[in-house]
Amino acid sequence: MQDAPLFELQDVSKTFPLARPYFPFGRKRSEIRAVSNVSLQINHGEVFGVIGESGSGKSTLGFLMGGIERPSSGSIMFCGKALDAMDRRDRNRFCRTTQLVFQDSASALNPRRKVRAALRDSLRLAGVPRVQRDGAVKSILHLVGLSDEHGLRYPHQLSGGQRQRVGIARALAMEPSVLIADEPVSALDVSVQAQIINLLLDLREKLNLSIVLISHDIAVVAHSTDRVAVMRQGEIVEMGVAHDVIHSPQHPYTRALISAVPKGLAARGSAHL
Amino acid sequence: MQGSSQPLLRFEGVTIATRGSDSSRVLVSDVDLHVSAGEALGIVGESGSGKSLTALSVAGLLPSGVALSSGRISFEGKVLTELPDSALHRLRGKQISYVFQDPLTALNPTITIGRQITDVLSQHVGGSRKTLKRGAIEILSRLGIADAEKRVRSYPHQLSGGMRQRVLIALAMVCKPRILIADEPTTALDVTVQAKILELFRAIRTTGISLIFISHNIDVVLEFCDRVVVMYGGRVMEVGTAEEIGMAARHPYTQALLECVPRLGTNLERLRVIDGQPPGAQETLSGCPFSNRCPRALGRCHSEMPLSQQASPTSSFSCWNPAPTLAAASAS
Repeated sequence: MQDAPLFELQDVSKTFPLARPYFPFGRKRSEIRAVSNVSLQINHGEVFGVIGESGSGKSTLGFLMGGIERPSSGSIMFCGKALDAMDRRDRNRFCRTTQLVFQDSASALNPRRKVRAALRDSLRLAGVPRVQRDGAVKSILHLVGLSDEHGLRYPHQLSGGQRQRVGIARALAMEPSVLIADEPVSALDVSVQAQIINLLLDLREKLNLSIVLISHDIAVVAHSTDRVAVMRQGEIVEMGVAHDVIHSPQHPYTRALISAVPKGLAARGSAHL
Repeated sequence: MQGSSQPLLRFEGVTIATRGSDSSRVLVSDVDLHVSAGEALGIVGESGSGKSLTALSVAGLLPSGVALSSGRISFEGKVLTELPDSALHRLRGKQISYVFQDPLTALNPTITIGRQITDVLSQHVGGSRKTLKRGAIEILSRLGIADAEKRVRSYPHQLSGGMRQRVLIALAMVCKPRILIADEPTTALDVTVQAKILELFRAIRTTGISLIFISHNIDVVLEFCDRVVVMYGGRVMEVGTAEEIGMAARHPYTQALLECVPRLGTNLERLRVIDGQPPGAQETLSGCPFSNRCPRALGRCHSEMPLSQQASPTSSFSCWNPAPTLAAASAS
């Protein structure tokens, strides 16, 4: 099973129909191409970054890999098996092993349920027997750097960084082998961003995870990924080892993304350390 | 850029607290700062550091239940904190204007952006409908909105995030204010759009407007502010010129903020983080608010708030155990 790459995308496209005009007589229905002919491979244990602006199709790509959307054309293989040809058992296994973490942790969590209850739900779905769930909730909370006491709170009683930790904890309850994190830090303060990124990297080592990290901020991705793909208007314009892409970008769009990162004092042309 | 001797805006010992009679909590304490004419002042700090409340207090926009409990704020020699509400109302939007973080909630979704701009203009400047409309189109096109004649008829939801932020800046700029207060104006935007909006603020600075620019990202602030105020737990931790803060910061919190920003040049596998959480508003702290997270904390840090020490004519910090500057630390 380890022979086949974790994900293999071949010529994957996804189109969405545009909203119909009110009187559609004689009009051709137009569609928008969110992801266009994307081919890529993600290996086991890899941290793979997807970078692009809003509207570049990076989230749609994440949804396709997470099995939330189906591709309009092309094929997605997970561990050597095509997603659309999986039988029910394989499909269930895929859904458990591939978990998503979203940008806005406040809307991703049910505001009426305490953190502990949300985690228990996930554990129940993961098939953890009832008697073990409380213990498992504790160990997952500790794994993401929260204490037992946080389990007793509602999502709105947590800070943004803590809430994102809960989002990650809920994904981990399913004992996944892949995390697809869609802009997990862009709603957070810079100082908290670093905490969450480091947490993801710690978890990767501890749990032997593969991570797909989607972000509009090339600086965030640069620090944490092995390989990156730069997306623009649904297409991958550049892909390679993260270090190479950032230090010698080939595509002008990648260079534009790099030059957009705030550079602090250095940008003023004054002497820099 | 230190213009006139009399600062345009001055905070003296400003303390902001909740208004509860029995349990009043201090949210911002003893803030002294000033902005000279034409100067750009950056305020940096994490969520909950009191930077937004400080900004809102200028024009009397504090949320209900929160009020200035001591200190004074003066603007062009007038003490704002003693002005009646009607006088403040005339200043807001005309002399002192704001740009907020989330343009979608700051704009009215039910009226066109042109109408929103002409409303501000007619309130403060007046004029015929035609001149008002011309004013709206002019400010939009000056702020880089293509096809402004058509765009004035758009509703906020028809615009992209970057465009909406431009409209918000147009609203703030249309009466040619003396000071523009921007509270996290780029946080909700993509990095590439942020770069364009920052470019716009740089252009605005050349018109001589004073600016207060608030951000949680110290690199953004260092990029184009003259002076920087670092806030934490409702207090000013360090003040200095951008060069002093960027290269010779002494406060451990400032240094931590500088080190946790992801930068492309460095090859660190792991980002430096500030351990722990910023203090919540519930906690009452007797000592330095940062002491619980500070790697250099001493015993007295937990019990006694350090006094502000002058480090240079333009910079000061509040710390019992200041760190050597990052440059000195990396040299040794």
